[in-house]
Formats: sequence, C-alpha cells, structure tokens
Amino acid sequence: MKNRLLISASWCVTAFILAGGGVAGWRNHQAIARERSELERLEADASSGESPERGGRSRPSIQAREEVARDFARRLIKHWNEFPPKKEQGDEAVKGRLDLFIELDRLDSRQLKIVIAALRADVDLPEGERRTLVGLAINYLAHVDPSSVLEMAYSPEWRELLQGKLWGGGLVPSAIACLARKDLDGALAWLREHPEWNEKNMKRMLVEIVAKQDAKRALELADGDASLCYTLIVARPQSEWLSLLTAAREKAADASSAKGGKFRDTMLGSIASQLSEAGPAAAKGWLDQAALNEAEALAFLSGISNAQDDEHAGEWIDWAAARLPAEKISSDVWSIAWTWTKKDYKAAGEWLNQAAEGPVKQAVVKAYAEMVAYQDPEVAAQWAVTLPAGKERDRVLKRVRDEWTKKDEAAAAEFARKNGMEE
Amino acid sequence: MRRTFLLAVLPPVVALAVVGGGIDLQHRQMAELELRTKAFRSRVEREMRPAVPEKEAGVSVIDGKRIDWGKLLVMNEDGQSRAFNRVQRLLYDLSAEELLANFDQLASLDVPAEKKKEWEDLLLQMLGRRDPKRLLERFSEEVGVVSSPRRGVLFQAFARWSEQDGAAAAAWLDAQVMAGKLDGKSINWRNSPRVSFEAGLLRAWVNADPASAAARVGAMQEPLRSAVLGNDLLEWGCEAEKAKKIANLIRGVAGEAQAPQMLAESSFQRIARSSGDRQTYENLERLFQDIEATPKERDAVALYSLSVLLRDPKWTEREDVVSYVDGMRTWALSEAHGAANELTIKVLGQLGVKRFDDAAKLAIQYQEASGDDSVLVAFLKVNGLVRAHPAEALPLLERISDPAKREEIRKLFPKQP
Repeated sequence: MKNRLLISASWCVTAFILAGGGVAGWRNHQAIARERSELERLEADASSGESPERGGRSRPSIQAREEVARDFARRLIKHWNEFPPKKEQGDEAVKGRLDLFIELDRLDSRQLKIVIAALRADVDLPEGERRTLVGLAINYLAHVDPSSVLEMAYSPEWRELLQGKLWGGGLVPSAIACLARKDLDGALAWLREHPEWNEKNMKRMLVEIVAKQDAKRALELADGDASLCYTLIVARPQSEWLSLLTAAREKAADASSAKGGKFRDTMLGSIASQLSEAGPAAAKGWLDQAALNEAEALAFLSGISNAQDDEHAGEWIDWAAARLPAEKISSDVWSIAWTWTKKDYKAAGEWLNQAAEGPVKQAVVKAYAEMVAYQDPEVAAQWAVTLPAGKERDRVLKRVRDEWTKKDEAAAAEFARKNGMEE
Repeated sequence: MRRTFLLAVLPPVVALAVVGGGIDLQHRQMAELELRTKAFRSRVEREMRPAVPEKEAGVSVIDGKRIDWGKLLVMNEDGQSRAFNRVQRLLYDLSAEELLANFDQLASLDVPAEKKKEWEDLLLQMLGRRDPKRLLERFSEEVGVVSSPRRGVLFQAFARWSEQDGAAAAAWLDAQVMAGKLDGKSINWRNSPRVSFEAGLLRAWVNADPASAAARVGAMQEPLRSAVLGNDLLEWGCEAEKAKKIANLIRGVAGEAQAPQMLAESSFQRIARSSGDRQTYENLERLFQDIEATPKERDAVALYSLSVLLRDPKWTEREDVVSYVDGMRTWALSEAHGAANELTIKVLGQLGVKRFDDAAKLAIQYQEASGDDSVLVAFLKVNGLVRAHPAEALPLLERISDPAKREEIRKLFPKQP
C-alpha cells in the first residue's frame, strides 16, 4: 500500500514536470520563431533598401548601391587616366576631380569598401597613382567608419599595406583620430588593445583632438607631459591660457610630481611662442594677469627666444632687461639677438646705437658682431672691440678676423695686430 | 524496498533531465539568434550610414553662388574638412570680383584669424589663379612683409603671372624694388620676399628667354644673387628639359666653383620630397640625369641634401639603422663617389652619439672593405665621441695602422687617473 502510494506520487510529479516543461518549451519555441523571423526580415529589408533604423525610409537596395559604387570607381579611374595629377592642371580637370571627390563623400561604408577593392584591382592605373587613390578612398572610409579601417589593418589582405610605410604610414593614425573625434573612450580602448600604435605622436594627436573640445580632459590626458604643452596652448584660445597655467602651477607646486616644474615652464614657453609675434605691448594684459615670478619669467623669455621672431626682438630684450637679473638672461638675449641680426641686421644695429651700456647690451653686441662678421667684418669689428676683455671678447674678435680674412687678408691682419691677437 | 524507491524516483528525474535539456537547448538557440540579430543590426547600421550627413558636408553653407562663412566657421573640424571640396568647387565658378567680395565678407567676420586662414588662402589662391595681377595689387602693401600670412599665396600668384606675361610681371617686380618695398632685411637675403619673387620670375623666363634670365640674376649683387640661385629653382615637378636649362643658368651665373653648392641648395626641396630612403635616392638619381650632373655636382648635391635630411635624429632610432647606413654608403659609392666617405663619417658620427656599438661595427666594416683607415680615423675624431665611450673606442684605436694617427687619436681619450 505504501509502495503504491509512493509510485502514484512519483508519476504525478513526473506529469507535473512534463507539463510545466511543455509550456515553457512552447513559449521558448515561439520566442525563437519570432527572433528568427525578425532576423529574416532585417536581412530582407537590408537587401531591398528599407531601413527600420532610419524610420522605415527607403534607400536604394544593397545591389543598387553596390552598382553605384562600382560605377563610381570606373569613372574615378577613367578621370585619373585622362588627367593624371601633375603640378599644374587646367580648370576643367580640377573641377572634374572635385566633383568626383564630392561624390566620394556621399558614399557609405559598404560602397567605399567596394570602391577601394575596385581601385586596388585595377590594372590600367600606374602603380603610384593606384596607391594614391586607394589611400584616398581609405581615408574617406576612415571618416565614415574608422573601425572598419582599423579592422582592415589587421586583416591578412591589408595588414602589410596599412601597417607599413605606404601612405606615410598615416592611414591607421588617421582612422584612430577619426574614431577619437566620434568616441574618445573607444579610441583609447583600441589603443590599449593595440599598444604598438600607442606612441608619442599618437598621444599628441589625441591631446590635440580632445583639447579642441575639452581643455580639462586634454590636460588629464597630457598627464604632465611637457612635450604636449604646445599642443594644448595652440588648441585653446588666449582667454583660457591663464586657467591652463594655473593648473600647471598647481602641478608644479605638488611635491609628489617630479615633472610638474618642467610642465609649467614648458607651458610658459609655449604661451610665449604664441605672444612673441604680438610684442610685449600687446601681451601686457595677459602678462599682468599672469603675474609671473622670476623663474616663470625666465621660462617665458626662453620661449620668446625659441620663437625667433624679429619684429619685436628689441622690445622683448628691453622687457627682460627691466624685470630680470642681467646675468640670468644673457644667454637668451644672445639667442634673440643672433636671430634678430640674421633676419634684420639694420634694426638690431639701431637698437645697439641707443641701448644703455651694460651686460645686456654686451650680449647683443656679441651676437651682432658674430653674425655681421659674415657680411660686413668692418662693422662687426667696430662693435667687437667694445666688449670687455675676456674669453668671450677673444672668441668674437677671432670670428671677425677669420671672416675678414676671407674678404680682405691685409685688413684682417691689421685688425689682428691692433688688437694683439695671436696668429 | 530499494527497488520500489528507485521506481518512484526514476521517472521525475528522467522528466527533469529531458525538460531541462530541452529548455537549455532552446535558450542556447535563442541566445545565438539574439547575438546574430544584434550583430546584423549593427553591421547594417554601420554599412548603410551615409558618408556624412549632407548638412555637415557643406551643403547647408552654400546657397547658389553664396557661401555662408559665418555658418561654415562654427562647424566642427570634421564638418569643415568635408565642406572643403564643395566650397573649392564653387570657387572655380566665381569671377575675380566675386572671389574678392567673398574674401571681404570672410575678413570682416569677428573670428580669430587662425580660424579664417585656411579659407582666406583658398579664396586668394583661386583669385591668384583667375587674376594674379589683381591679387598682387590688392595686397601690394604686404609683398615685402616677411611675416605676412599671405606671402605664399602672393609668391604663387606672381609665379603664375610670370608664366602668363613675363614682361609685365618683371615690370611690376622692378616697380616694387624701386619703391623700396622689397629691400632685404636679412643678412644673407635668405627668407626675403624678393628672393622668392625673383625665383618665380627666373623659373618662367628660363624657358622662354634664358639669356635674359641669366642677365637679370647676373646683374644682382651678392648675397642676393646666391640667395636667388639657391632658392628652390629646381623645384619638385620641374620637367627634365627645364631642369637642364635651370642648371645651365646656375652654372653660367655662379661659375664653376660655386655652381655645385648652388645646385645642391636649389634642388634640396625636390630631393627631400619623398617618403622613404629609396625614394630619396631615386629623386637624386633623377636630378643627376635631368641636369646631366658632373661628378663634382653629384657629390655636392648628395652631400648637402642627405646631410640636411640626417639632421632630424629620428633615423638613429630605426630598427634597421645598420642597413640604412650601409645602404646610404653603398648608394653614395655608386652614384656620388666623391662624397661617400664624408657622408659616411657624418652619418657614423651622428649614430655614434646614440648607438656607439653599431657605428663602431660599421666603421670597422668599412675599414676592412676598403683597406683604408680614413673613415675609422675621422669617426674617432668626431667631437666628444671617444671621451664618452673610451672603453668601447679602445679596440678601434688599435686597428689604426698609421702610428702617428693612432697617437693623435689616443690624445682624445680621457686621461687615466
């Protein structure tokens, strides 16, 4: 009796399990059928050109769009064969080429891939021209669908071409840049997975892209790398330089950051390179707000010196002389004066004629005399002898004598004799 | 009892296994289908995405023959770059007046100059193509300004005018010189606007009237004359016949002693325009062929252009640096024999600073191949090299066969404490 009861209960449980399973299985079966039919519908829509993602608006079918791409490739090749690019082209050739580029701009990713394949397979175009056109089309694809180009770079068919030095090795970086403009985090993730592309220039490119949109994020990305300061400054308007400098100053003040001081100084140098051309009078407003201390002003002056601008060289030398100890600026002043004399020796000479005596003027005299010696050793000699005795004076006198010898040996010898120079 | 228990437990267990297995299979099918659908959707979305929305591609800023510069300048970088072709295409259909009106409209916008620069240049390049004289007259106050942002466009326009009407272009240039607008400020005239204008005129005249071209440049004072002769006269794209005429002009004016260096300076831009070592050598060989270079000219051109290119120290970081250096020497030995050793010494000296062992290995290789110590000795004389690497340099010292030279180099080693 007990056994029969046990068997009956067992069959009841079994029936319950099978019934429950049947219901669940039937529901799953229906869901699978729905999903399958959805996939079939999507595939059919794609072939016919209906896109549910575009609100059901109609586009030409895949086949039709593929034909457009093939036709475009044929016309592009024909035009290139008819008007091979050379230095000077007639208006009609350029207009035709621009019309084709505008069409290229309208193609979608799938069509561009067809164009790229057609160009690559073409046998009529000379090798160099074919390479140029393939690179051009890949560049367009990078703008539309950068991930596709990055995938191509690792495909067996394209790996060698895209990762090699063709197209200046620039198509993969160009695709990364396009991806970064659309999706910075995506680009950074891709670079983490492909560290072979994550080099210095790549970081610079990303900082440049980000800096145009978001200074704070760019500053984070730069991570105290002084070589990226110029990129940051150039990307942002002058009105934001002070806040960038403030961030750099905070980094410099942070004792745990060893590179903070260099970052701040390089940022000041970069700002100086941008303000140099305007001259100190125009830069006064910014400089007053920035209230540079001595170390910062020296870093700024170094940037002025590197900028090699000659329009305001004298004014910048006066600016530095009025604010900074002469012994700390003589090297930068020499460098500014050297470039200034090279570019505009008359203006440098005029500055010398009215400059007050002292170490700053001496630094300018050294640069001026050494540079002018090449062209006019007699004038160089007149200035060189005004230098105080010492090694520097001897060096400048020697340079003047050597240059003079090339033009007039007797005059040079007389100059050497008068100044007690050894043979 | 045990049998009964088994008979009772077995059916539900089997049912559970069958139902569970079936449902699991369905879930797997479902998951796979979902994945396929998702991947398909994303592929379709990506592949069918139009290249760029039309409004971003510059269509919305062009209305007939009118360009909405204000709207264009607020577009993002990508949008502006895609609009470029459309705007450029439109400019080809505009008259000189219309181009200038567009320029004035663009210039009047209160937007930082650097944001307008690319578009201003495009407009002015087109104006220079359409009516170069008008462009030069419009910006006549800027023709001598070294820092003018329009200097490149002005030079291009003048070169075009010189091709179209050399006499009128020369008359305009002489008038600017007479008015003092093109006085040289730089000590050697390099980078001076007049040099670029004169070079543009010479390139045009050399085809039509080489004697007048030679007379014009020959009448110039030094250092203006050298600056003009060295100013990219043999530019990229210069046809072989014209290159030969230009080379002959340089030879005639500069004289035998100076001509090789002038040719070297004047051809540097076309040599440097390459994307790899092989291309650089091909550019050099093509030039040698075009101008029928003498051995001295070959040496000077190769030495100058390759030395300038070597100034960018990136090459010392190349993985294939040894074959790069070796390739350069092999090329020089074959095509510019007289420059081969000097070039080798330069390149080894630079390499030695960064990668002494590689440079030393090559110096030994060249000594053994040539049976001549000159490269090895010159390499060890490179400023500061031996002092920085005394231990590594010592075995090289012992390889020098001439005792006098060996002693000379030994003096460069740091003194023993």
